[in-house]
Amino acid sequence: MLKKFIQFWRAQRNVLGIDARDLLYVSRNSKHSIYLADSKLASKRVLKENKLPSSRVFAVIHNRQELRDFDWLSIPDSFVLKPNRGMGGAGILVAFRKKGDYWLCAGGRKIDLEGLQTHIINIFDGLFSLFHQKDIAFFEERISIDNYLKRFSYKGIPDIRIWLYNYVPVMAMLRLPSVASGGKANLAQGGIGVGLDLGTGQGLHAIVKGNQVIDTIKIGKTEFSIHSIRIPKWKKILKLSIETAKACKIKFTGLDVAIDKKIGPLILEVNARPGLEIQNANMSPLKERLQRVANLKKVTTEKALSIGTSLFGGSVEQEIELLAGKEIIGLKNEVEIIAEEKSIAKVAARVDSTNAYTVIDRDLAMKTDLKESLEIFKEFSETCPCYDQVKIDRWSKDVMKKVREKTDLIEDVKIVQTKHGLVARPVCRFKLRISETEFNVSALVMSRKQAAHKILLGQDALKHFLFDVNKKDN
Amino acid sequence: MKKLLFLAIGALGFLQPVLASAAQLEAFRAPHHWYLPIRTLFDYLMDSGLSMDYLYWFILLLLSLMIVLIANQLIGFKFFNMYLLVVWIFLATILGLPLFLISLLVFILFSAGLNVLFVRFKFLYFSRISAHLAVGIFCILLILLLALQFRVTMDGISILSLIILLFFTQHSTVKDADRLGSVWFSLVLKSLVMSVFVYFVVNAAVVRDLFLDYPDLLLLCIPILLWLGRRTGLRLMELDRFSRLIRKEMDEDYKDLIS
Repeated sequence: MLKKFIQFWRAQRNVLGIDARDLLYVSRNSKHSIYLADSKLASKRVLKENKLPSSRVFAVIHNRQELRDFDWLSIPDSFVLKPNRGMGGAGILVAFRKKGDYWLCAGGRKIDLEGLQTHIINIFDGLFSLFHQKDIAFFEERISIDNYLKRFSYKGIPDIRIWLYNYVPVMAMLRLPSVASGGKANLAQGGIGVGLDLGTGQGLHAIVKGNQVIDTIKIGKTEFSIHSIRIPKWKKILKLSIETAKACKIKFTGLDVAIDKKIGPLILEVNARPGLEIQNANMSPLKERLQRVANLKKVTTEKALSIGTSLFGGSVEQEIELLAGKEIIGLKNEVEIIAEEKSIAKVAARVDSTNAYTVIDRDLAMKTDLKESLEIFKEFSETCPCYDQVKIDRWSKDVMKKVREKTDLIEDVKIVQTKHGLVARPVCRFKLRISETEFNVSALVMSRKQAAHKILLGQDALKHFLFDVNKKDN
Repeated sequence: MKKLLFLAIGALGFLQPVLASAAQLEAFRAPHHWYLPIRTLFDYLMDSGLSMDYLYWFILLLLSLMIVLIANQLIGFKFFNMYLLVVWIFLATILGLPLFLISLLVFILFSAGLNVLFVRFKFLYFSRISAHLAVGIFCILLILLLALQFRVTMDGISILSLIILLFFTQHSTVKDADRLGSVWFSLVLKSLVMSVFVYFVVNAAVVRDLFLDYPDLLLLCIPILLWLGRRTGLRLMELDRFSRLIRKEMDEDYKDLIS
């Protein structure tokens, strides 16, 4: 019982609560940066000054006098009406098109000019704003959803919430409008929250209505697996969010990013007090992540991106690795050669899946206990005197027989085409290590002095791993 | 320095009852003990002719604030805001529970109704604040009439209490009615239940007697309030909200233990 309680106590300590968020992290932001986050128009101005993409503002209405004199023909038929200091998505009115005297809005609602004016007056009265402060209304461009994300969403606009601390992305979530939410991406209204892997932008877990976990999303008759979601232009999105946080000088923030069909990723909103539901969507607590980047100072955009993706990414890979029992490697990997349980060399290796054998540079092989055997083999490495296959086989067997008489460490002989003609090359047993995986491999030893990669990983080495061309380094 | 101050206040608060109980019962009544500053102050005020009720209202404010803060910060109950709740509890004590409930209901119904009228008939460019206030003032008349009908005594009740209730209720609750919809009803209900609960607690004879006899116990509230204000742990309701995540973390912890 006590053990269970201690476990529970330890587990809950990592979860970020509302008080910890406000006292420990929101307070790290300067008053000016909080003002920028709370005022959509002020943050838009900063974004514009820094040439960062955000949706275009058509018009701003400050007071009743301006509303009375407003030229309604100056705005397009499709727009989004927002309160400047609105919170929780309240007061946002999306008009799709104009039909006669009224506008067609989200959820099939129709609104006429008087209705629109009433809504704007409600905004002025502070009905939707923080602490009921007097507010101003503005019209902005309606985003057209990217085709890829459109298939996962019901009617509305999906957005990506990215949490950043010290300008480093720490967690991300895709918010999808659903049938239950009536086309709104707001989680409180029934939207779907999909936790994203920071390294790849791939879906990890999804929740609806607080903490009800779902594995699939059903839009119409099509059902999608959460893992099949992979956000396009992911690195660009992360980079944009870091640059936005830097432009607003906001250390702790939750940014909303949308992907427009024409413009690409753009900033929707900067939040000073982002919601905590992201932890449930990612099935991962935030406190530990925030603490890991707490002491970072003066990080460049590239560095912040690299820290965020390497520290907090890779969850999908981990799950796949756990299922397959194999590590995932990329095109280029760092390989260690092990001899007598010691690492004798660490070199860059490239995957060559067309080769049956792994190829190792002769100079590297000479550093192992194979040195003597390779010296012996040198005596037999003359060019093959014939081009007839039967004769080549007979010649290689002869070479092998002679080598075997002098050493056991050379397993086989392979005939390789070089610019000098057909040459016999030794095949030896090596112990290699990539990341955490150690494996034995029969490798062809030949000179690769001029080559950038001293080892080429062939099919016999690749059978120990899963291979992902998108993975940059290992 | 802040920590030292915090500790000193806390220690003083905790030592108060111990020091007090060590003395003779008459000592509590004796006015000039350095370790009973509030008792001394209360005695002086009462000797100067101030009613005990006024003094209790001061105690009530602090106690209500502490209970509301515990409900919010430790348990995680949601209500409109802390000020509103404390004002409601205070006014319920001044007006009496029946009159308070009647007044609240009248204000909410009429103000929300006025909002509906504004939306339905689109009274553009009409000063809403003045309309709300005008309706509110007529509501006070209605409350007086209702109080008369239900034979609730209005003796000694200042009209100012009703005006304060009107302002707070209109500003903090009715404004959100359109925006929050069903959530608004739930919030109003939760706020009302919470304020009635705290009203009963702080007006219970035991609590009233205890704090009037030993007002220095109030010093205990200060470290509690400070602690609650600085607490960064999860609230009880957050434990439920993140229960699945915590369970997952516990399972991972368990894996670490297996060698």
